[in-house]
Amino acid sequence: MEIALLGNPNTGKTSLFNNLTGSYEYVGNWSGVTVEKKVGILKNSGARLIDLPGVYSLNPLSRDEGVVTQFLLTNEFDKMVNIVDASQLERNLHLTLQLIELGKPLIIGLNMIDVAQKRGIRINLEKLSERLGVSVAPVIARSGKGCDYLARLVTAEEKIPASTIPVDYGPEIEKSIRELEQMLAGYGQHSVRWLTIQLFEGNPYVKEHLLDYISSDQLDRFIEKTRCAVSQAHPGIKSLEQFIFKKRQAAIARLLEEATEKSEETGPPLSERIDQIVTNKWMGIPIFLLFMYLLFMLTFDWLGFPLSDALDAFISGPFTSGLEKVLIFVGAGEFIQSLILDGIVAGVGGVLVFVPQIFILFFFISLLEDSGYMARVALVMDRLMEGVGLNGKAFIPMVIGFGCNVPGIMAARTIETPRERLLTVLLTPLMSCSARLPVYALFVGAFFLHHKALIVLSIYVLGIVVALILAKIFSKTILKGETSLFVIELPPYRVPQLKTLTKSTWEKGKGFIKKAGTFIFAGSVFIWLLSNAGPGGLNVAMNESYLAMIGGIFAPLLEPLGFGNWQAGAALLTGFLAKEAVISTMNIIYFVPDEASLQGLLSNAFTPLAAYSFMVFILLYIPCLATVATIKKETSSYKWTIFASVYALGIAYLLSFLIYQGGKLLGLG
Amino acid sequence: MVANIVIGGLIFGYAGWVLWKYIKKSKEGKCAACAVKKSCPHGTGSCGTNNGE
Amino acid sequence: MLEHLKAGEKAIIKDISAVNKLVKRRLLDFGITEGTEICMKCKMPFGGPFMLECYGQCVGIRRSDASDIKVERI
Repeated sequence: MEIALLGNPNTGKTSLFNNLTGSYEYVGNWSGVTVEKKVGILKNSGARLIDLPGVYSLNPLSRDEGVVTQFLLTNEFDKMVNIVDASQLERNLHLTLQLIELGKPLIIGLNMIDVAQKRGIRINLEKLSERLGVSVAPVIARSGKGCDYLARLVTAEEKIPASTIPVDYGPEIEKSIRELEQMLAGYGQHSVRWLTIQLFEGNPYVKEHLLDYISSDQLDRFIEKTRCAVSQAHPGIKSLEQFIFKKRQAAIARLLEEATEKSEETGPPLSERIDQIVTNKWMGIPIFLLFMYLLFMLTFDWLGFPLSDALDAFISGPFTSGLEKVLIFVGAGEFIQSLILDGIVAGVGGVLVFVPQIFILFFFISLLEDSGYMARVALVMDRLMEGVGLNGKAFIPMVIGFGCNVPGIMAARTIETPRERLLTVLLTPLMSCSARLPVYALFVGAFFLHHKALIVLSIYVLGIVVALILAKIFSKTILKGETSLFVIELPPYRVPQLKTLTKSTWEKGKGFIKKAGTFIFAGSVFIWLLSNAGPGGLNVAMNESYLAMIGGIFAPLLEPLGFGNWQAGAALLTGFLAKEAVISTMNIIYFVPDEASLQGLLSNAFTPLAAYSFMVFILLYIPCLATVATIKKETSSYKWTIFASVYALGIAYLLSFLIYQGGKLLGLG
Repeated sequence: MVANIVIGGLIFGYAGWVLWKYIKKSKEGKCAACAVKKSCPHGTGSCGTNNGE
Repeated sequence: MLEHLKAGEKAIIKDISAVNKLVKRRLLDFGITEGTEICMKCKMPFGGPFMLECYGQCVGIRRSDASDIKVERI
């Protein structure tokens, strides 16, 4: 059995999905966390539950909303669960009515009843269920209360009757529904009533679907005829869309009159009081910057740095010597010892020591996502973003991009206009992802000991500034267009639950650890091999190895940037596959077991200015392989994918060149 | 000697397998992580790459 | 006009027909249309967006779109 999970954005669909399936999908407190469908298996029953992006109506505006309509039109499923936010019942029921019209068995999960009660709204569940002809189950998706009952209701064997027709759209529309039924004689896929109404609302997906059966001319004439009939009968109605909305609204108003009671609100919600501070006219941006500053100090200075140091001391000390003893005990030869200690431990360990810092960063990103502050940041940033041809919503993918660029690029789906969406996809890779963090951490530790957090902050800010400048340039040249759209829902604040926070931090950080154990492990083995083998056979001096030869090809090109050695060339090359690999490569090349001695060696190979230039180059030079693939999928265009990689390389080279040569002129070199 | 061959074989075998898998997965991008990839015709529709804009 | 409301003032929307089509659709999704009561919560500086409240939900819209919305103070 296949069950589709639908509802308005930010009503807790994914929380419910996680509770019902025991899996973990990304949750957060803003509209548009889920941008594609996710499938899970219901606990106990084995039915498949399909989590879909949130929509306000089935007539989509943005790409993530299109996923839902496309799903309903093309996929087979047996039942639907509609999550309804009790505190926003009126708005949510617009979607519910459209789902009922679809004619498939439907069950409502009524979420956030507690929030509704605080707003003074009491809902009579039996009445609501009776009027809609649909079973209603109260749930608290965040804690999982009521989920079992809902699951039992959904998977119960008895067929849930497809409910009755909920809205009477008046004689003109009803006549047109019958007409379309005749035109579609023999068609048995979807409810014709639903198709007609969606067509009249201007749903492009439904129109596309109907074009398989009816010619475009005939369809347009049919819509126009109905529009004339409706506007004759109801003067003052300008469009069919508006008329249908009004009819639905009236039906909902009658329903709510019977099924809800309103009493006085219990004081101004906490959310509003917080809003008065964080989205304050003048304090909004400074508060956001302060938050970012705290994040950086904690990650790179106060907390993260000492933790990483301790971990480093452990790995390079007791762990390595212990491992060495074991290897000698089992009789491993010199080759294997070197492979494990100089290759794997150096490569993987070099990345793993940054786990504490990465987890702190992820914790803050999760905090931002879960509290409801994310949408406020978008609001606060909109003015700035508007100035460069984007809108505030584009800031959300960028913030997510600080964790990992791949979900960041996917989050751009919620941006309504194609031009702004493409622009956001192209620029999100400039946000410094967590995989680039170890590189900074290593270099600031070696060169900028007294201004660690500040230097790293400057790199992050540089990424944002470059992105904004490029947005301005692109929207003036290759991506011209007037349309910029910004309407955003600001969810109420929630105190983030520790459980959700740790879970979501762990889920993000898990990928990093997993990658260290798989890709970085394998990469380390091969880099070690390349650094030990050369034209002269195995066990050659590092400078005569294949790795030195490959890296040496790039060295002359990198000379003007201040790091024209083969080591940097080789590290940058592996960094395209995964940015953490830069660190592994350096650890192996410089042949040191731990972070501290690597830093010592680095200070011979780099000047502080060259180190900064190198960090800037790492920040910008190319999106990693996974990001490039995601850009390709999201833009469906080779042209834009190649562009995204090439422009980044150009900008990186230019900026590093300016920084290094400029710095030298100023006497910083 | 036996230990050398066993450890070396394990490490290189695992590394080769992982690298092959990683590159394959990265190339596919998000579709590799998508739960409905089996029923999803690549790049059409359900992952949202084809819509009526 | 909506843009002339001061923070904290309430109004009823009279006409949104002049608003950009996509914005209008989005506002309709939030249930904001003619006859809706809204409250101006906050105005961002330097010509930034407005924060409105209606039916207990908060919505952010741009100043330029707000200037196309006709309202009546209450």
